[in-house]
Amino acid sequence: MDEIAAEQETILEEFRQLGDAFACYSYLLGLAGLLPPCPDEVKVPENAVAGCQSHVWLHAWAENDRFHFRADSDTYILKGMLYLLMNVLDDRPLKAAAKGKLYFWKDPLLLGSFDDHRQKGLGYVAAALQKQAEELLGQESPADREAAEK
Amino acid sequence: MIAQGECGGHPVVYLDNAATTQCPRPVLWALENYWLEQHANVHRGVYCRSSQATMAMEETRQHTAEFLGAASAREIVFTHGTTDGLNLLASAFGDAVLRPGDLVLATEMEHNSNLLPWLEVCRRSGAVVELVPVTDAGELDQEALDRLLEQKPKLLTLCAVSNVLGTVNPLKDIIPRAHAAGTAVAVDAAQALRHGLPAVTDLDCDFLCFSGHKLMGPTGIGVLYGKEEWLERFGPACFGGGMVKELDWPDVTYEEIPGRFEAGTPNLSGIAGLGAALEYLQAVGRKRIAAYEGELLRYAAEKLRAIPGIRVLGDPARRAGVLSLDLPPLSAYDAAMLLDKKGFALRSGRQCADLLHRRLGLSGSLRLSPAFYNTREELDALCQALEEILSVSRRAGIPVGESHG
Repeated sequence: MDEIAAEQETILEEFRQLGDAFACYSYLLGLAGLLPPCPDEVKVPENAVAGCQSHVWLHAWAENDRFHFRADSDTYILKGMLYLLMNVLDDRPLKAAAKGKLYFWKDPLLLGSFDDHRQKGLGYVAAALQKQAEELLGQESPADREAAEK
Repeated sequence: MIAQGECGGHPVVYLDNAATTQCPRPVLWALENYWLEQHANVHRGVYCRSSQATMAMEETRQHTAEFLGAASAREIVFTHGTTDGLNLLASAFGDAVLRPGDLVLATEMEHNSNLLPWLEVCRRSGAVVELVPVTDAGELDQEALDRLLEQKPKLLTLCAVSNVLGTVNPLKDIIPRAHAAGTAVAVDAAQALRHGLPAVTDLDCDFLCFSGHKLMGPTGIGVLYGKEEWLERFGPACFGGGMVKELDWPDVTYEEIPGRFEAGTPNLSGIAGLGAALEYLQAVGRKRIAAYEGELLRYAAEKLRAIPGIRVLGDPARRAGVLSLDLPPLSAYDAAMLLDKKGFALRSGRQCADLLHRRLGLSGSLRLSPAFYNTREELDALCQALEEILSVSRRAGIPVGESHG
């Protein structure tokens, strides 16, 4: 199991231990406070993933061939989910971040209601992040990529 | 009688009746009966079933006219719902009336369905849409309306009841002022018909739209009411079978109203369901329903106002149908998600009323809209769940009700 899958399994195990959906969502409210602060300059329209129900702002960059991002939302539940997404994707090798299979919010027992593309939910946010990781990966020189893969 | 079921192990407390109501058994029976016993196309066949289907549709049209208090069944056009009715109206009115420079008035509290068709038709015709502003209490600014009416707009289109604030607009006061300015009036009654809307002949509105699914009927069926003299002025907005009297290529003569506006096969099962829903509402008693729902809403407002951290939006003189809440800094999305996990179905977000939310300085709100099958006990349980959510939020370090009052 790769690091990204392992982190997601850890997350799912934590949620399964919480018992019911209300406890899971309440837990997310608490996780919201752990999301690293997002600078105001990140919260600009070009970084926004806007929906009817909520707004999310994303800013990604590469450093030493690793993927990094900051994110924020105007809802606490999504902030909590963004914190978990950060645990899964942030500081991973660019290629792993771009290609890794992301699924933790799709677990039907726990967080199925996030996978709603119409509301531009977490699936949409994760796809946007992986697209950015893909673009950052494409900007690397072949030599950088070779070094990173070693 | 009306099943609400279970969700995630909790009994569902359905409080999103402003979005759609649940169908009572008589409506479901009417749908079943239609499909088993009556299904055939209307206006097409000489055979028995087709004639019966046509008669059933026209009976519902007559019944709908009586329900609305219209002068004639010729004034009732079946549509797919309020949105479809407003689009049909905007298109027909735009073609028949609007010219470059003309003015159409809408209001800041409209659902997008009563804004976007007018915006688009005005773009096409060169007319202009202006908005009647909303006061801090959540009412239409009547002085601003009078100033705008001085410009002799061709049409004022407004909701009877706001889908966000529940504001009941004083139509009987507004419509004569608009008519005095030579302005026709269209009413979006999507939220109003369970809450004591007067007869259309009494209101004297020129047009009115509503949906069956907010009146215990099925989805996909609605009505555009138009005064006969107006409908006679309009050409069809949609073309095809069922609306042609004679085609002598390339000359064509269209059907009389209202058939002229009903191209193609109508939603016959929907019409059967709508007819049953209207009968059901009349059997239960429309005044009784309006009184009970009004009492539930007042009870909910009083209880919710007493919970620190919850703000009931708006304070209109008359409110019906809905209450919207703000729980800063918790978002409506957070609250609705958490309520869902307790079995409560409430609407969150901008509720298709983007302009009103901008006016209120909010990115969304949490809306409850009880119907006559809801109870005080359910509202008590909702308040208890909301208090638990606020408590959980505070424990999570979210300062609900502390800095925002």
